[in-house]
Amino acid sequence: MKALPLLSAALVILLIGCNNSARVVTFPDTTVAAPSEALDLDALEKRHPGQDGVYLNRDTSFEHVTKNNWPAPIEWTFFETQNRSYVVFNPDATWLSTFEVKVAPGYELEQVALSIRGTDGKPRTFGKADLKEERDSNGKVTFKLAYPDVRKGSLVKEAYVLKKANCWSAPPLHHEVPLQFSIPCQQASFRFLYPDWWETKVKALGPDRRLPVEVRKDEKANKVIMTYTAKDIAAVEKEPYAPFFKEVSNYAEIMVTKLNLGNATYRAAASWDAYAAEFKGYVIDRNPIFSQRVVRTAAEVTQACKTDRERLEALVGWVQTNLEVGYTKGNFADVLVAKKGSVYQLTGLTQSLLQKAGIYSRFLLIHSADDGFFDRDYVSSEEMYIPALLVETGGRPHVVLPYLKDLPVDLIPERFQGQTALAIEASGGAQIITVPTGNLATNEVVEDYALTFSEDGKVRVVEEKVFQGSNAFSVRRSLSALNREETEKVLKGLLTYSEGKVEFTKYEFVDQNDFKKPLKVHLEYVIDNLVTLTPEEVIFNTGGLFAPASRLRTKVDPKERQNPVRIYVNEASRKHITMSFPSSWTLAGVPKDFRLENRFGSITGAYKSSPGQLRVEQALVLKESSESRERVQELLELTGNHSKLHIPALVFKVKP
Amino acid sequence: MLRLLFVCAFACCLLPAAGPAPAEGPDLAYSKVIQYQIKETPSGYQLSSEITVRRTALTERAARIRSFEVVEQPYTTVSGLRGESRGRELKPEAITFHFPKLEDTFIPPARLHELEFPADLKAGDTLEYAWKESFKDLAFLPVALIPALDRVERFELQLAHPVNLRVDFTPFFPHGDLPFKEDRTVPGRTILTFLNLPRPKRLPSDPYPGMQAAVLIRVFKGDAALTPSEPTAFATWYLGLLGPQAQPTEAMKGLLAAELAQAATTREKVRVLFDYVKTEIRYIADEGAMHAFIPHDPASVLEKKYGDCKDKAWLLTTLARIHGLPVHPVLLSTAAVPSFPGLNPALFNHVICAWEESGRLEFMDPTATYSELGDLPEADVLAEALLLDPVRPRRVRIPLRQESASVEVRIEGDLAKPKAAKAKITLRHGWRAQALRARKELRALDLENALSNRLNRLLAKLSVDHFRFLEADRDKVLFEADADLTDFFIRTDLRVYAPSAPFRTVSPEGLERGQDPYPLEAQGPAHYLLDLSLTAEGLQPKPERIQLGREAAASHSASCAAEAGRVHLAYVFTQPFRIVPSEARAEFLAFCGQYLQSNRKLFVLQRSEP
Repeated sequence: MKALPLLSAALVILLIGCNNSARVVTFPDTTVAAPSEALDLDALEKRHPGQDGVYLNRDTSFEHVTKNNWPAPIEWTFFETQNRSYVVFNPDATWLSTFEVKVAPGYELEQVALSIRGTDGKPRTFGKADLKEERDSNGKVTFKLAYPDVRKGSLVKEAYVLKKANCWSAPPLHHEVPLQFSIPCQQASFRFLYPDWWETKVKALGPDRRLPVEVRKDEKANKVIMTYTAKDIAAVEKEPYAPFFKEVSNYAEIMVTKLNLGNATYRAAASWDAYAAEFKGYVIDRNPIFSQRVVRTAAEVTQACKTDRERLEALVGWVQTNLEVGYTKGNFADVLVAKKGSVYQLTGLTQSLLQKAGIYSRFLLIHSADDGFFDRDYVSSEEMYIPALLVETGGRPHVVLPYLKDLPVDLIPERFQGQTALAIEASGGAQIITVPTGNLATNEVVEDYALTFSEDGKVRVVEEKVFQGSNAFSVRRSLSALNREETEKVLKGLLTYSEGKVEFTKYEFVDQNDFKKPLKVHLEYVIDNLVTLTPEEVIFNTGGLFAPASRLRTKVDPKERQNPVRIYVNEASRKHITMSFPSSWTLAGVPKDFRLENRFGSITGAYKSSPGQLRVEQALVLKESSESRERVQELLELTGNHSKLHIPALVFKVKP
Repeated sequence: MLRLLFVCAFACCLLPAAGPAPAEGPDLAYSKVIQYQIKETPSGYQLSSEITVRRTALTERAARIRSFEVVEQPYTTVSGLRGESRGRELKPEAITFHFPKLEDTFIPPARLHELEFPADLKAGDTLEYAWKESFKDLAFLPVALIPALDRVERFELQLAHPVNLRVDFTPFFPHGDLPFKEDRTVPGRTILTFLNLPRPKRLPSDPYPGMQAAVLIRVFKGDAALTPSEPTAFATWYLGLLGPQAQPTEAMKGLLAAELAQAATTREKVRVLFDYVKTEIRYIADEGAMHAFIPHDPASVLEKKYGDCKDKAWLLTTLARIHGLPVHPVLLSTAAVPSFPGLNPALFNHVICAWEESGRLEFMDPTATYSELGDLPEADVLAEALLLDPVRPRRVRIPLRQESASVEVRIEGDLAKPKAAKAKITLRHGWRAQALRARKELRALDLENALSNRLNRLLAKLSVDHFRFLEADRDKVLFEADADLTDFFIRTDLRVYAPSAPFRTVSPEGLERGQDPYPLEAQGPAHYLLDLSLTAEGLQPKPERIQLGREAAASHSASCAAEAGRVHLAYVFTQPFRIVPSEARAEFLAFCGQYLQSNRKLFVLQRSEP
């Protein structure tokens, strides 16, 4: 979805001058300093306990080389040079004990030099001839090597160059380098080298956070050399309730904004308005001149609709259901015939269908939360690429994604909520907007339980779960490919009781295919192994009934927390439980009401007892939050693996 | 892994499976015709095939499935892929191939072809795709698999062969017999046809999900089998694929000389070699160039220090034989495969080793780094296997040798302080192997999570945390931990209650299988022990003992007693099956029902009168 091929071809050819820019990066790279101190394996492992290995260095170079061969066309070559060395602590970590590089069509593996030095100090080296090659039908080639005799302490060095000989087709003008990895790194660096008459831009990492790159010129080679080096970089840790990688880690994202080569020139859009004007031509209003197919489709799909809301739902639902994602050459009529279009084409087509139905919409390109900070000055398709439509019906805004099957018009996926978007008018005008956030009701799971105990200890349960918003969407998606028996299996799997011997009397999804409504799971069953009867007491083993709030199944050590705490959207889960029991039974003790509230939300439990009945209300509410890592302890109080709402058993007294 | 591709081929059958829609009635009509051609040539028999699949979408949901894969096996070359839908041939660009990314394979065995049909398919449309395969050897004639799609209209095997050859079909029906027809009316042409199969029912705990039938195809010339299905013929053929055995290198001969010299017994020598191969040769599978079947040369495996299961097994075998130790490779399948009287390469996916002494076989799995000689991973045990003893190849069943409990938890404490009990945890067999792996590969908190999550899943209402490693040996690994008994005991003002069935080991799902006679997956074997010895002031246990099942089948015993002023609760659960044998089925299901029902049964600790 991210690659926007339409824009990658935006190289405008004009009649302007040209120049040479020689290749600077040599192979193997000698410009990156080798670690000066001798390798102390024990000290390294002590410093990084439990890691599979440690990068001693990782250096990435992107270099554009141009050569004027007049009268022949100018050569424009791009080189990506990777140079890294690492120590292996865990030889069973295959990703460290093997080498693999994927070479895209149009690129070649120009050079490769690999070596491994065992603990005995003897190095073994490998070149291209030693690699196994897998070439698929699209021309993508994967080169592989498994290093021999990898042991704890082996030192691996890898250097290779990917070359794109002809950059006139699909020019590489946008580059991205991660600068933090899954294992620690002693030194990470990158260089970006380009002709000194070109212009580039580096994306900011945060409102006040810019990658401190150094820029110098190599006069002899007519080159600008941009460099960045960092030392002692901690490993990226995957943790629950953590921000996306790009929100907290360092990375370099660079684009070429202006280039001239001989008679050709390219200028990236200088503003989002300019970008929108350029984008508009690709997928907005690509209606056929002669065909009435779009008009006819809009009319057919909306003929039974009375309101704009109904028309919106009908048209978006029709596109989601009937058209698939996959580029189709041509205009929107061609997309309708092929029943297939790119996400941009499907969004543009939906906009046209809405327009024919009299509904105005704006084409959105959304910046996703997982792309990190939105740099307003970094005008690139890599910043805004999620297509959507902004539509208003009845005074309420809807952000619709017509290519996501079954996504209701009221639901905005979490990672887009509250993010920045470019709203493009059909006229080409544009505006930066903030995507609306969802409301709590749309991210809520409500569960109702009615338990009726009989004197013989059998429990009849009527259970209803209501999924809304993104929860309903994801459950429906997981069900869409299932057959009846598989669906039944999923249904039974949603049963709350994990220890019971269950006899189902009824189980169904309600409104499974009407994605405009909440999705309900309705279960009725009898359990006969959870109640123990004695002459004086009845013990009810609650199974999993009172454990709604435990979200983290694993222990988390707050002291070890690396990432800040991030909850992207408000969410809640609520349980309403009514227990009816024989009049000869009385509850030996009613659980105490409980409420805990902090900056992340709240958990509550309320218990009301009356003769023959216990009513329980339990809830976990989480609020959209962005807090420092030190606050994680407070989150654990709400969501930790031992929920304060858990009640393992209830005891009833039996009247003699 | 020895990718003998039963699973892979089976997966291929399943991939296009649409299955019925949630609404009643089938949503797909499926037919597959495989035309095999066996030709006699001066160099032997050549096998090729042409496969045609037709799918008619009966619902919109089925019509949306339009992408299909064709697995190229390492022993075949796929060509002539074509497809047709709505009267149009599939465009060449819609037929692609790539090398699959397999979880445990670094270099995949072969290509995966993909056909993508246009998006304009509707309910009622029929699409057809076909391809050709040429086989490296007649012995690779595959086991035919009839998928559990909801309406198989036709599944047909057509074999064109020289008239002096005979083709035998052996069907396997995991869910009851299905009607089929054999046609031998035309000399040189043998056909097996399944027509309009009844809609299959999906069963819980089914070891053969997705399969309606499998057919072993054997070809004979007179009495001589051309497809090696007897152990001797199979071993001869398979070992023949490996080529002449290379002479051991000096490195192999000199390897572990000191350790072997110190080993006092043959068993110790075998163990020295086994330990070396399992720990020093890391698992990396290079399955290119027929190495999905054929192990790499042991000398190169030793030099590179990596290989897959068969590479490790062959290296171990070679090293052992240098020292005169009778160690042989053993082929087996870690997944449930059809039970046939004859063999086929597709029935195996793993290689281990067996050491033979005095007629007794001791098995070892050099791929399982943390396993021990004679103590195999759960996936290996009880499997039907082929022992590649060059002198006397034979079928064997990998025995279960787990007399001791896999998990043994002994808890001491004071019932008045339920959060402060202490546990000693002994892990053996697969649990030991997993604990050792976790201990080596995981960081402290991840190790803690791995251990406590696994144990807490097994032990209902008992929370075991803060693991402290004590010791490990070849039999066990021992931890100490804190045990929280808060949820284990239920306190009332009259009594304290304790569970009688504390293990979460029986799935209620299996009980749904009481009405049918088909194979039942039991997810065993299992053997667990829990023992609590607690001071309990003011509480008098009511002595009681519960015994469910019987030891040779599946059993659970639980007892509550007073011992030396303490309360003693003891629980032992054993279950010996992976797949429950038909003769043990009724007894096993009755045991499962009783075990779940015993959740209601609580031991009683009576409070003393004040």
